[in-house]
Amino acid sequence: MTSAIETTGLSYRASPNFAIHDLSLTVPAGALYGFLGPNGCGKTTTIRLLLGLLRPDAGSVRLLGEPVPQGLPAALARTGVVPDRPHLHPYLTVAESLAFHAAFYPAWDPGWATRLQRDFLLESDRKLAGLSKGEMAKLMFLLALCQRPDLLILDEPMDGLDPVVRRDVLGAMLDYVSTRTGTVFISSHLVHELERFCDWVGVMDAGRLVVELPMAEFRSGNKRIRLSGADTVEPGRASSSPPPFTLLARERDSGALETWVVRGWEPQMTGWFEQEGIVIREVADLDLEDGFVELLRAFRVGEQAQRSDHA
Amino acid sequence: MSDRAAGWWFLLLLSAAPAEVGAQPAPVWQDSAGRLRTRLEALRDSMLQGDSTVEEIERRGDLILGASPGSRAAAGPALSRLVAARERWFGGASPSPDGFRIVLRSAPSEDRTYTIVVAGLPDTGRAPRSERPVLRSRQLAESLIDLYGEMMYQSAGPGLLKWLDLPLPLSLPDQERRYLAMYAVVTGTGRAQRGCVAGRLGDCAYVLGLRPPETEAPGGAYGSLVRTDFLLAALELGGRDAWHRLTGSAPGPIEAALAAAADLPADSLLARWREGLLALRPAQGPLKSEIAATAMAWTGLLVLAALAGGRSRWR
Amino acid sequence: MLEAMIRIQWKACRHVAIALAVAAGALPIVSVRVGWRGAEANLPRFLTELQLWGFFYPALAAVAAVALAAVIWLSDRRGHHLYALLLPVPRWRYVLLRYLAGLVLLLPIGLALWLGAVAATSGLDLPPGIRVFPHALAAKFALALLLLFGIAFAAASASPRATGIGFRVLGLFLAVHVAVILLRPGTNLLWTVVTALGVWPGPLAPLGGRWMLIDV
Repeated sequence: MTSAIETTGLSYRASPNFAIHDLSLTVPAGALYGFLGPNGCGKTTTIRLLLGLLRPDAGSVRLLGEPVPQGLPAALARTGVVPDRPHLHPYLTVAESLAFHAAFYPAWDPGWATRLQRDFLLESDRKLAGLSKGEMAKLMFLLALCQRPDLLILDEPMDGLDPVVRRDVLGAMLDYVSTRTGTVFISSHLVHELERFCDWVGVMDAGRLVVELPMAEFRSGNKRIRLSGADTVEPGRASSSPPPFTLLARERDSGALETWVVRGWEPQMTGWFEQEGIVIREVADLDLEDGFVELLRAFRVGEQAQRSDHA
Repeated sequence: MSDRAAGWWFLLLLSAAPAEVGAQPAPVWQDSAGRLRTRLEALRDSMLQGDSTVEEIERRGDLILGASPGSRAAAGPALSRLVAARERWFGGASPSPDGFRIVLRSAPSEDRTYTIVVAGLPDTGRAPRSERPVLRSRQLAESLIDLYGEMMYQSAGPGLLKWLDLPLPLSLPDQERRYLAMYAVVTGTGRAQRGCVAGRLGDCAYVLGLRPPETEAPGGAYGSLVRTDFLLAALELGGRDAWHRLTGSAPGPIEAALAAAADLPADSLLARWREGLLALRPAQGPLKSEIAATAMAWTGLLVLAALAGGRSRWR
Repeated sequence: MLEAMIRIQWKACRHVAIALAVAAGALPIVSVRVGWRGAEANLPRFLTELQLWGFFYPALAAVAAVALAAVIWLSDRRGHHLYALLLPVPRWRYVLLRYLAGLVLLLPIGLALWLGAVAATSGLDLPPGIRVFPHALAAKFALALLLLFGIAFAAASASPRATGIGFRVLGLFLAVHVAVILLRPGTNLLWTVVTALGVWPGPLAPLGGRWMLIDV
């Protein structure tokens, strides 16, 4: 199995104003996959489709090689999930919750559960209804991790947590990753958090997958280029040769200078600029957040243009 | 008419007595006083009839129904139920030969109390008459049926009343009366009572107060509850003319009168009544085997329905 | 898994189950002891009154079934069944675990009624012709409880879609019932259906009949 998660042409209409369109994403086995997107773009809906909580209108889903929903119990036995909201039984205590959860997972690691419970400062006789948001998040993480899953699916796990709790749960997750060859699929709109440990990134916007590629490629290929002499150049028009990169944004600065934001940059691409008579003044890296913003902006402009053409 | 006027009428009647009164024996004097009393009651009834608020609202054959304004709404349904009971048990007979009148009056206040007057016709003071207060409108029909039933039993002569003692209200639902009678019969402890349950008809006749005992130390007899049930069973078996045959047999033995009512030999009547009563006895305890099987089968189906769903999860 | 389910279900429902068990144990005792003092003087009246108490047995079974089924599924419903859906068991297996654990909750109620019936009838000086049925009555109550719990559990475990379909069917039936009344006054479709359900072999037949702890 090379993919932990695989969707093909996944479509789902959530409401008259929002739908998932033809979503085809692939999460390689062993990857730390950051699923990025602004609020309301469909990340949680996608996760629910992956987990069989929603039935797609079209397309297919495979989770750890098992088709969803036919093979869902087998896939869930090896998948730890931290959903976007608390889902446990509030009338149970921490100890009772652990005991109930453990009964369903043969691979449950009681030793690690005890250690994590101690590290997370979760007292056994505390009722779940009385836990704070941070404590509940830690408990959900504990339950997901101690199953010893092959796949961890985390839906906005850090949302609303204080830095101390965030550090605790991230630490536990990274411990897990370092000791196993499992896959982590984590969704968030907090780009800077995922930048630190994800090695794959998928970006979603308005129900569509914008881009999916290794993190290094995403980071290294996004550049901000300051140049001059580009007044008469329109990349992609018939009068000039097509650029070997993707132009995400273009801004005129003071005087004759312009700033271009490009994706897919490689050093040898300076040749194209020379060919077009453009002088490069500076090439600077974009951090993940800037790259993410520019990517979305370019994607939305493109979508708008497509809609206008069809109209 | 006011009480004062009634008093003057009373004095007037006294003055209408024969001018010459010879020495009378006490029984004769008592009879005169009794007849005077019934005449006064009839007079009061007529005065009540003269009450302008009571209007005749319905006639059904020889039965006249009058009601005051507050009881008119309940009068019609009550009368219908009375007519049905009258047809069923007494073949449409009346407590007096020329028919009878029912007056329903509601109290002046709004407390929903009523008075029922059932009086035989004509209003000469000799016809039977009975009056009863009723506290709630929903009790009107039952009270009317009970009152009518009592008057009918009285009209059958002293023999039946003596045998019945305190008959059950006629309005008591059949099932309740039958079950009460069955319980009384089945739980009887006397030798003759057990003998009746065992099937000895002579014992049944004894415990019903129809014949002398056939054995020594027979024990007690059944009371009015069982006897009422036996009477009504005989009337039901005999059809529409049952009551007529029963009253036509008076003043003979009660057993013969009841057998005539049912149009059956006495032993046959006893046997059929006994069998009908004991048939109510539950054959077994609360749990029947087919019911248990049904419960398990339906439970299994329901559990399967709950488990079914397959891919249709909770969304 | 079953043991784990029994534990959490007992935790959720124990107060309800204990209260119902107390009621079930008290019912036969109260029904008999209240009237027994005057019974010898008027056995028919005592038996008739005992027949009236019979209504409370199926009523208690219905209350117990509905209350337990509702509490069993309360936490899942509040969480939109999210936890259950994320567990590595098919839906039917999760439902079966809930049901079997629910049966365990019914045990103390049925047991309490049986003990109460035995206690109520022990030491009674029974006149001839009178029999006591503590075991048969307890068995009938247990069957009624099982049946009604099945109905309530099936309804409580239904998906929103299935519940919606159920309500629509019920609404359609009531509309037809009203239409029939308007077109043919005196015809009571609802009563006909209820009667059919309550007569053997209908599903509600076990609730009828005699619920007499002491009988002839």
